[in-house]
Amino acid sequence: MRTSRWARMRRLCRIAAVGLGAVVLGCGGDQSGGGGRPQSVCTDCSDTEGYRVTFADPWVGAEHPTVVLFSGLRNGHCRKHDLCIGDPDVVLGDVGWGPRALRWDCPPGDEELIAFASGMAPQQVSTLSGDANVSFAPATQVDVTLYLVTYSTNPAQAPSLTLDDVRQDGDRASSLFASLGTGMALSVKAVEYHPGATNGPFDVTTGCTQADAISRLGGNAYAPKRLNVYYVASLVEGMYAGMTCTFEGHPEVMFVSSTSHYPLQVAHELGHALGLVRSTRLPWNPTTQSLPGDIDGLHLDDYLDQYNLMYSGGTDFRTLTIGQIYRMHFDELSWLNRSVPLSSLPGGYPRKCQDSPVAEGDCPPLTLHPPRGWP
Amino acid sequence: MTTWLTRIDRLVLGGYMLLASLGLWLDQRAASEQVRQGDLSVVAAWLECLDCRVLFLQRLARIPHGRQENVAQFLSHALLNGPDSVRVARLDLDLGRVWYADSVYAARKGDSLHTTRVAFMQRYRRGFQVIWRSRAATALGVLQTPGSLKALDRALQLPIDSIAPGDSTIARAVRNARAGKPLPTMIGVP
Repeated sequence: MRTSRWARMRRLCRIAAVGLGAVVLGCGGDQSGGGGRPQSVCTDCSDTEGYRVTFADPWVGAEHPTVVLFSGLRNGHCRKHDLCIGDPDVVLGDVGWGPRALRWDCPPGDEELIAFASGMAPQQVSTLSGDANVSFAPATQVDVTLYLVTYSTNPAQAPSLTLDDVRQDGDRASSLFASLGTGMALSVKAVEYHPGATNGPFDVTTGCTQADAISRLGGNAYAPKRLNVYYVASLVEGMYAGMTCTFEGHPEVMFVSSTSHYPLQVAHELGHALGLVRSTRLPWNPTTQSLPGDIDGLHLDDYLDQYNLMYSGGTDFRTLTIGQIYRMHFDELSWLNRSVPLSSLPGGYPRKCQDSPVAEGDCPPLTLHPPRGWP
Repeated sequence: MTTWLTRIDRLVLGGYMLLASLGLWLDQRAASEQVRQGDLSVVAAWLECLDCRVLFLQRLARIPHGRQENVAQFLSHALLNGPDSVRVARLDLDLGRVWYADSVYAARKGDSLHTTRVAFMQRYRRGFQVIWRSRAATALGVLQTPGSLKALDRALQLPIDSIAPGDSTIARAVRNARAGKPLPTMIGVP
């Protein structure tokens, strides 16, 4: 009896100490990389003993900062989506999965350990026996073709861009994907495409209604194993700068308006193709589901800062959250998972990530990110 | 009533009633101001947020007639004059940063950029104008109030500079909005 009271006292002290530490360190503040709404996510990464995640490659940790995402039983508490930054190793303390960790509040399906390193593909760890020595694979290669559609019938539709401009857009997207720590390497080529006398599916009304027709073009106009971005004269009466055809079943088909797009439009559209398409409900219509992709900027702006890759109408992008990178690799809607059925891989990947920017679900919150930024 | 209320009582009661009326009036005024701001914030989001789609326009169409002219006035200014100077300055700042990042990236590869900073800025400023004005025209077409139709008519009188890319796109958006043409089906993720 005396021992259990002492144990309870110790536990209370520990909780109080962790709470005080969190307040002192400012843990759990802004998770969105700046300008966002604070969340209650608060990770204690101060363990010095216990389960250790090390990295096989000596340059990982030094040149490539690491982050470990953990869900499961940890130090006697059921934790979900803990984030710890490597220094260079990550020590998680006393962790458990499987029968050892069975608790009513800690369902086995939620167990997960993923290591992220800038410039490398995210790596899953599937067992907690011993310590983990993670060996990262090179960044996932994503092949992209940018087509500058050149018209022959209507001079008013003549593109105002050159192939060099389009190449520059591709370089910019590649550089940004590398610097944001997406774990993807873009391999971009830019070509001119002449649709012929009638302009084919690239006339003045072009858009995702023609995605099917475009996917049947083949040859030098479409490559099924690449992401295909078409620079067309304008999109929907000039109202749009770019468009991705995910909900028409063609996430690999994208459009950019030659006359009115932003410098990082290609990078933004590639983000949509790679799974960042979940919609949110409009505040004045909370009871009905929004249209696919009908994103309420007023609502999301509270969570994703104006420099986030997926901020609508942004010009200069500098941030991408771990929650977004997770979706790009593990969401069923990501083009990378186009031929992998939902939950068909060990660990339940690819997953159906929740719509909400902050609610807990099968995937970490969209806005989950180390408070002081990464990489 | 006058028999048991003294003059001072009546003055105090009158004062209370006056204060209550003033409070009610102020409250209603604040509420209507809030509603007006709500309308304008939807319009501002429509102009700026490219991922905001047709439901925003449906929301505009549902604004009561009494408040629609207010919104039309805001949109008319957006169509005829383009984005305000603060927005343009913010765009320039962001474009400057992108240009700098491009230069650093090219220098690291041992390349140089094929376009000048001036040409780069002009191209994206122009694109911003096209989106802003085309969206304003479309929203005015949804409202179809006397004020919005007048603004669209005025926009139709503006000369179209065929050299500046995008002018024909704006002109087409204005013509379609003036004719009350149904909105194109908006699918895909912008």
